[in-house]
Amino acid sequence: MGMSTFRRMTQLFLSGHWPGLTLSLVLALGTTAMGLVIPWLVKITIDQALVTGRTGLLRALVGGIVAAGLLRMALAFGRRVVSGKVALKVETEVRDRLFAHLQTLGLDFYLRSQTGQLISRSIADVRAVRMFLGYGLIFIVTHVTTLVAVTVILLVLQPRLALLSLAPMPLILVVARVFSHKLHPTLWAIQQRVAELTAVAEERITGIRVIKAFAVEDIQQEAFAEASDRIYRQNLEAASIRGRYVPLLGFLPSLSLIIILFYGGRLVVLDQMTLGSLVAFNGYVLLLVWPLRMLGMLVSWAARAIASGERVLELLDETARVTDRATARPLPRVRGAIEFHDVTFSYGDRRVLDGISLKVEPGETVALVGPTGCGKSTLAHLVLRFYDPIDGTVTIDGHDLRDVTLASLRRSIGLVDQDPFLFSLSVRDNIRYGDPEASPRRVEAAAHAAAAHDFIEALPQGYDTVIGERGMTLSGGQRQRLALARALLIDPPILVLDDATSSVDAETETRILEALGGQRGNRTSIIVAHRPSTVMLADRVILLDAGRIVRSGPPTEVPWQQILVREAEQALERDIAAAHRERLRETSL
Amino acid sequence: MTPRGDPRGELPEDPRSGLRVWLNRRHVLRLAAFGWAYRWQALGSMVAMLAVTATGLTGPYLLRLAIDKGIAGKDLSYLGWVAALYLLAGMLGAVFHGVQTYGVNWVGQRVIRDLRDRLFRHLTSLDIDYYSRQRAGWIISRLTNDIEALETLLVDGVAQLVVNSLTLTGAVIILFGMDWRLAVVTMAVMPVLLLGTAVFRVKAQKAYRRVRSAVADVTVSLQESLSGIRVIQAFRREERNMQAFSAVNDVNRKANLDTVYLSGVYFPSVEFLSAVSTGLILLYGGSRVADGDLTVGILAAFIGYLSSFFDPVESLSELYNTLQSSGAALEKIMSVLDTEPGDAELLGALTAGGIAGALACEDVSFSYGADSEEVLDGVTLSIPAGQRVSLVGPTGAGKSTLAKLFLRFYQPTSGRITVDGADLRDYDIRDYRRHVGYVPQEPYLFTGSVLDNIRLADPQADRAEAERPALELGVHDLFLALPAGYDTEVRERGLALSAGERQLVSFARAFFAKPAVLILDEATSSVDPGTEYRIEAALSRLLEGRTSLVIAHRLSTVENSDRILVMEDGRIVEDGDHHSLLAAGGPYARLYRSQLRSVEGPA
Ligand SMILES: Nc1ncnc2c1ncn2[C@@H]1O[C@H](COP(=O)(O)OP(=O)(O)OP(=O)(O)O)[C@@H](O)[C@H]1O
Ligand SMILES: Nc1ncnc2c1ncn2[C@@H]1O[C@H](COP(=O)(O)OP(=O)(O)OP(=O)(O)O)[C@@H](O)[C@H]1O
Ligand SMILES: [Mg+2]
Ligand SMILES: [Mg+2]
Repeated sequence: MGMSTFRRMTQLFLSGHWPGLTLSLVLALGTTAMGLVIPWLVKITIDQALVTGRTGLLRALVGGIVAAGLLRMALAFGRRVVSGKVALKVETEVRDRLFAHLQTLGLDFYLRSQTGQLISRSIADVRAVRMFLGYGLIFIVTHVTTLVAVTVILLVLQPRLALLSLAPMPLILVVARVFSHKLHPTLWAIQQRVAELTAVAEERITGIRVIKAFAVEDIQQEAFAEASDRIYRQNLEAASIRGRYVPLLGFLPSLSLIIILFYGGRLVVLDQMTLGSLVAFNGYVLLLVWPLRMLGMLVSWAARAIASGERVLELLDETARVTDRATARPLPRVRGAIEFHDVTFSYGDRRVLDGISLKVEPGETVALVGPTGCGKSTLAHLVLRFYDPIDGTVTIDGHDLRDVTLASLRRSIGLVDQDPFLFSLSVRDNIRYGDPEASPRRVEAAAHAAAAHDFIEALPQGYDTVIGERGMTLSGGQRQRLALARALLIDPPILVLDDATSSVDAETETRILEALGGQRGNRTSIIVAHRPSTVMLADRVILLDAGRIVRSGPPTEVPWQQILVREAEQALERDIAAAHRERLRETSL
Repeated sequence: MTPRGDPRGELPEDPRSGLRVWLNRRHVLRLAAFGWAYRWQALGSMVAMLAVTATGLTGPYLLRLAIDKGIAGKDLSYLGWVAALYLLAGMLGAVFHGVQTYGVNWVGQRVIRDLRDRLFRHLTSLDIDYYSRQRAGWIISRLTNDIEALETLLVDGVAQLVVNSLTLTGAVIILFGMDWRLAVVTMAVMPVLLLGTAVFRVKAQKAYRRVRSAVADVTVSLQESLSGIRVIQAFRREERNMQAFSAVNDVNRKANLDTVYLSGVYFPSVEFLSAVSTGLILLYGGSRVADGDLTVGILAAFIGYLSSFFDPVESLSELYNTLQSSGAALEKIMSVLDTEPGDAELLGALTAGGIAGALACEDVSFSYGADSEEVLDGVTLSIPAGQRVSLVGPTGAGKSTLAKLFLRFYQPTSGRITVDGADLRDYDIRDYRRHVGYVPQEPYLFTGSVLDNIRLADPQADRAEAERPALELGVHDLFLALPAGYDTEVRERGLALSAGERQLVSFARAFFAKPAVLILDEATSSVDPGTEYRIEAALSRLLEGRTSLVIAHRLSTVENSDRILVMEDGRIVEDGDHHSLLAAGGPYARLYRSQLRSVEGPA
């Protein structure tokens, strides 16, 4: 698991960066080497210049030391800048890539995932990967190199003593391995807890108005505190693992020193070795101890990066259900004939559309009506191919939607969603969201058609007024009209209005409907509505119930309201209702 | 008055912040206050750190003893003892190291947790105005990214700081003890180091501030794009959005890169100074050795100890990075904690227990910002307890605004609102809101089940209690028809429900707490006529004995009310019941006729 993630991470994230990484590695090795050269020069200075009192040599050597220091500075600067650049580049690329990928994923994915979770993975986890790839990797390589080099030197110098003093090595490696195995899952869990907390916070912050209205601040604070406490406890668990293993890993190398001291000391006492070589040997082993001590830290580092990498890869591995087929063609000029052939659709196990067959002629306006939750929005969303039907096909002008490119399909459709989402941009940029190059004239025309021009003009900066997040600084009806203007701006051959005038007053609605009727031309419209005034605009009304079409015909001939109200009456009258009343009596006692 | 500004922009920075030194002392003290509760544990960890440093220092000493006495003296048993002691010291050191690791985490993570909780608690106490100005992603960034930056300081930084400072102090004492003149020479590079550090500090502070706001921008962009994904996909903005995100992401990279350059210059320079220092010692010491003033032994030892001096200096300067980054984060966090809740959220003394619910406005005017137009313009109005009032009027007239004022989301700019005759300002606002049922124009549901969303006000309520409002509203069977009935998971923002279903949940939620006052803002705008009929049928009974303000565009909802208010341009222009208003032939009659006409079909 860990290793394969690691391999995938390096393959996926580091491709194209190997030259930079190699360069920074070379620089890092150079820096390390300079770090070793300086003490060596000092030793020579003491041994040869000071003891003999040769001032010329002393000056030269000191010059050498300073020069080496200068070189080390240059190398270290290079190493830091090169590796820092690469690491940041990698981080930025991975995040860009993740973002691009997230945008291709379908609504089914967004239903499963919480925004906060995605934010946390795209920011905190990607950052953790950067830390590791940028610095950790280089550290590991330089340390391993030092380790190997010193081991070889030791073996050459004094094989027997070397083997003895290196005896704890396998133990160290085993402990390090166990450590990383134990640490990995807790670090994964920490990242997960952090993401959960982000999700809790994100929802509470966007829903603050409801929290305040219901005065449930305390309860939400508790929910947050709980999530916060879970992070704490998980961190503590990691700390207790670290607290056990890091000191152990720090201590084990000392065993080597003790072995040398004791066994080597014996050899000296028994005259089998000189004191000088013992001291020298000790010096070399000390060189080993430092990288070994760092092992604990490196292991935690790597474990965290791998845990985060897994979480990033997990998202990158999500595949979009709705994508362009390899053979997909752009939709040719749209006439606007929409057809549902025996379409069935479910959300998970929940069947929402059940064998819908419906033909909408080019230029026709069809109103979808039906009880709450009967599948109207779902049907509308299928036209934009937010989902693919489970059974049956949806076609436009005879082209199966799955055979055309998503971009060309969606370019042909203007959608006003049931709850309009606006961005914190200017009014103008919101209206021309579907065509950022649209001229001011077109923007205004769209605003006029949506009966929005007047209120926009009255805003503090008119069309340049920046609206708050989700358009929260506008009234409900104003938001809805901007969403309508946004859809009309792209002048789509097909218009899908999902309850798009539910928040405007009758007079404004009449204006909008008149405008829509006036510029209808040969636009095909699918209008989901609950208000008779809107439905009257349609050529045909389709009454849905429980995912099936139960009636259809001209609005004047289908008494859909009466049918819906009668059903409601019946439902209220039904025995269940009586049973409810029974329970009602119980609960109100 | 609460300060108001550009709805999009960040709150203005404290003008003094440019002059602040890193880690503002006041901020650090406030942070330390969070640790005060754990002072004993912190002390314990500190002792462990001392022990770790001490045992670390014994190692080389024991080694020396072993060589000088054991080996040189050819005393094998002595050697054995020393080795055993060495082992013991190592083991003790490891144990203390473990205690230190755990202890520091214990304290540090707790402080972080408390700070995070406190930050969130404070955030929930801020007024709605704050949330209309500050973007969600920005706030999230404070709660996550900034806290994470601070965590690095508290958990890794503090321990390093202590251990390195201890070692440094020890080294300086030893150096001066050995030969003070040589020690002075060693310190000769200090002024350069301090000067460099000062320059670095100023530059790094700016750079790290940029990093903090850059990462917040990335969060903002991400948050908005993820929430608006449906629009993005419908309008094919993926490409452009990607570019916009890339741009912010790249600003973040560049901001970080600045810190890379800064530390790239700083740390290697510190290392270089240590080499210079070594050279100086050799030169000066060498000349003294030549003069016979100093032994080679002392000089060698001096150089040996030099690393105990420069290693901590290096580590401390590395730590500086963490300090700078956490300092910038702490600054942002404290700026949130320093934001005043705004007077709309002040807790007055009046409790609302047993309020009758008589609402009144006395010449109330309101505007959302100092520079924006008046949304309400001298509204005077009195609603006796128990009356069912409908509020109608064109879109943007100020209906929702009036509703929000009754909830005290905002305070009137002038005039006053009274409840049961007492000024709304004097109420304990949370207590008051508990007695008001509110269905906002935009229903907002939280991740969780339908049931959890209905019993938002009291998560401990039992099932029967939570099902009651839907029963009363006559929509019980609609909830039962969901895949898992009341236990259906609604997902983030209620995405797994239809819009009408969301609205019904929001409706039921308002009735759950049996409020004395009900404010329904377009509460049935997204339901079909059948469901509306059910609710309408139930409402006449449910609103009995409760004061209610019902905002609606569908006039069918309005006819049954005791009284109808017509609002236009922030003013109440008509007031009366359905029949009298129709007869008056004013704006209401016009609205009513236009609705009738549109039912008959547009011209
Ligand atoms: N948070 C805000 N900041 C600034 N202006 C706002 C804010 N909320 C609303 N407005 C403005 O105040 C005016 C009244 O808005 P309000 O929401 O009260 O209207 P409304 O009567 O409820 O309309 P609708 O029927 O469309 O919901 C509008 O012009 C709107 O743009
Ligand atoms: N993403 C989803 N996952 C699971 N179930 C869903 C999802 N979206 C909708 N549903 C369910 O499918 C049914 C149909 O939903 P849809 O939104 O199509 O209804 P609708 O006819 O548009 O209703 P309304 O009039 O309330 O807008 C509802 O019962 C709803 O609970
Ligand atoms: Mg719908
Ligand atoms: Mg409103």
